[in-house]
Amino acid sequence: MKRRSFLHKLSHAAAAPIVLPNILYHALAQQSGSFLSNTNEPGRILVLIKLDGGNDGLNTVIPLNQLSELQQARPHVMLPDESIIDLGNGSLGLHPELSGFKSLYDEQRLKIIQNIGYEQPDFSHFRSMDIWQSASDSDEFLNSGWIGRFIESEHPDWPTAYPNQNYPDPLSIELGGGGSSILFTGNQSFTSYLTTNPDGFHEDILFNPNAVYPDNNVSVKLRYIDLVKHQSNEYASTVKSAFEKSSLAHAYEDSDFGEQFDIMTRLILGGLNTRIYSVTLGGFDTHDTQVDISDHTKGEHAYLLNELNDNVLKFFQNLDEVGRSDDVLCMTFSEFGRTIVSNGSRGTDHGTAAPLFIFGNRVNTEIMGENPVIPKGVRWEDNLESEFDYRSIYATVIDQWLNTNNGKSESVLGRQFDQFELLRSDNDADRWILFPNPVIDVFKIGVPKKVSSFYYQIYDLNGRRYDEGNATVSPSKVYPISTDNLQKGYYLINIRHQSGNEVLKFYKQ
Amino acid sequence: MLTAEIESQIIAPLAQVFRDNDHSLIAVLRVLLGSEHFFDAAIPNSIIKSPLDYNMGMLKELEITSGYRTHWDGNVVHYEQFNPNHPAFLEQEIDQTTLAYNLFGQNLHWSNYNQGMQLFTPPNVSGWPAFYQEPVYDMFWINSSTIKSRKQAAHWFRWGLWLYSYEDEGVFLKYNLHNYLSTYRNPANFEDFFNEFNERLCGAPVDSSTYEMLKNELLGNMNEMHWEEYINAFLDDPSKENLSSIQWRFDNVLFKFFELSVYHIH
Repeated sequence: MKRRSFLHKLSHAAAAPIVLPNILYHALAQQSGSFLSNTNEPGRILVLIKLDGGNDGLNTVIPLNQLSELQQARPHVMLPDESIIDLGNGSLGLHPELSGFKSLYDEQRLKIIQNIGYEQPDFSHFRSMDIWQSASDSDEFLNSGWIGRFIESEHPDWPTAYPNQNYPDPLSIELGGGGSSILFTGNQSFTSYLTTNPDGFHEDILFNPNAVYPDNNVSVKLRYIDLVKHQSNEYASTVKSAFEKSSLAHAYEDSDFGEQFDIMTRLILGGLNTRIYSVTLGGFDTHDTQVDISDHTKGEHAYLLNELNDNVLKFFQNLDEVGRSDDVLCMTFSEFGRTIVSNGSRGTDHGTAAPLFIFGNRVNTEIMGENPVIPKGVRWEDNLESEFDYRSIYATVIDQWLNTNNGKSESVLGRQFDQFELLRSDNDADRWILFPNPVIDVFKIGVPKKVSSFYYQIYDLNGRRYDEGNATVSPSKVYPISTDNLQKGYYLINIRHQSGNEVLKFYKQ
Repeated sequence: MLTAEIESQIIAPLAQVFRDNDHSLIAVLRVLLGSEHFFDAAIPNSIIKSPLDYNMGMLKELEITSGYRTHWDGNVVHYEQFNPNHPAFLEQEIDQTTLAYNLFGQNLHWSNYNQGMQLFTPPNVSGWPAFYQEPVYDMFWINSSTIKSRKQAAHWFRWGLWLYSYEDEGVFLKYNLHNYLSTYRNPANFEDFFNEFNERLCGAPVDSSTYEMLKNELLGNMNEMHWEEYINAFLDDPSKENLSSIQWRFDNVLFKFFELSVYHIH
């Protein structure tokens, strides 16, 4: 889109009287749980985690059947075999800093999709990040982002008619990253609310709802500034009050990324019904010193993955405390993966396809994608083939999470993309799960939604009873049980609850 | 928008000037800035000020470095002419590096940062998106976070730039009100004063309803005549007593002006 028509549309949108929040707004079809329902009711939330700089996929999710090939191809950065966390599915491992991801996987809350990319990959950070955020082909230049277009399609009267009674809260919030990104730039205007410190300065910004401007280019800018002032004033109080209302059971680290999670979690827990958030962790452009010279499990990349792991895990723990984690879907993305071959500066260079994580209580956690195969005699310029177009994920998220009935993805993404089954069938919410298994010291029982208490007994395979107890389940629907008194070996746990009996088996290490 | 006419009438001749003058940009700029085209009222446009323009614009307008050092001792505010070469104030000695760091590092750096422009640290090699990202360009500077930070900057500068602490109270660098008022043709008349501010610093005339709103908010029930009395009394006798009585009232007015939408553009 040309600047002129962007401005043109904006000026038309903004030429309508700036409307105060008691505007009469024709309610859109209200479907509980979908993005379309008005935001007075809690509903589904999408969190996008941008890993800025190009995350090294091969040191994040490691194909265990390629360890010796990887050791040959990337000796300067390869993790020691024994440090890699075995996912337990027989083929994949995680970077040692991702222990929280392992437990989320065990809890059936993490999906890994391998080999994501696009045709004719671009190796420029900016261009490739623009491609990912605008959801364009490699040779197509779009000036809007897929989230921006999605929000505009759901809210045709955005921005002038917002906030209003049905939508008192921002439709999307960007944290970190410094400014409006192309991700949230629509065809008509920006669609996100940016906040850095909701607790901060909150005097009203000077704004005149009755300003009259002549019809020229200058006024387009003035109307835009007025609109931002108006929305900023209107949203400031709802955002601030949500932020102040909540406290967190699990405090985040004192870092920029931790602070983004802190704000986001408080806003969600404080009852702000914003449905789309983005957070950013930068620094993944690890051309050098990706790993420490003496210990490849340490270094810049480990530091970043530690931040990612720690904050995502605490995010779900905080949501668990109040029973909101069912409502949240979280996904990572990065502009590209990195080279298969490492360089002499203990780093890796711009690559192509890479894995991506999706988190959520209801996610179908089947791992997608074949393990990448490292070719013999791999050269620096060889790159991984992509197996899935990144827009398949967007299409799936749009149609199966954000907008469950209308199939918006085609219009937002410009054409149809293959989709996968994002969520488990509803029956799975009634399933009992035990994790991690094998057990080291404590294991957890994932309890179906409607169960609030149960009685359990632990037996060995000979029927000898070792432990029993009554469990009252917290809103997180996860109940921990210690195995301190158990020897190494196989055990059964027999569970009795209001509507039946369950027997689960585990191995104590 | 670049039309064929602009291409042939403006760009091609300027390119010729560039070649004819041994590739001197100065020569090109001299011709461009002196041209009729440059002042053509038929193609009005504007650009949203960058954070640096917004902040430095305020400080430069107020000629902050020829201002006062101020210090609140619990009862009254003390004013003393600021001299960066002799920074001793009260019993406090402060070295030049710390002073410069406090003055620009603390005050300006963070303010620019909060407004989306961390100086010397552009987000990538292309610089800040406002300078290159079509079709949005300069509108990138304004969002719900940065618009608050801009107000906050005006609010900070209103109290003066923090220099250092003395006996638990800040020592601030504050503009010289008398000098500042003297730069106006008729500062005692609120409307004249406002209009001159508007002409001097804003990218567009303020609309009449905004002017009325601002005037009501700032002068409240006060008759404009009282504004005139206060200002004239101070201009006639810039004593500390008169300064104390007018400084905060004037700050209230002036720093609201910096929040006007028309001030955000130039």
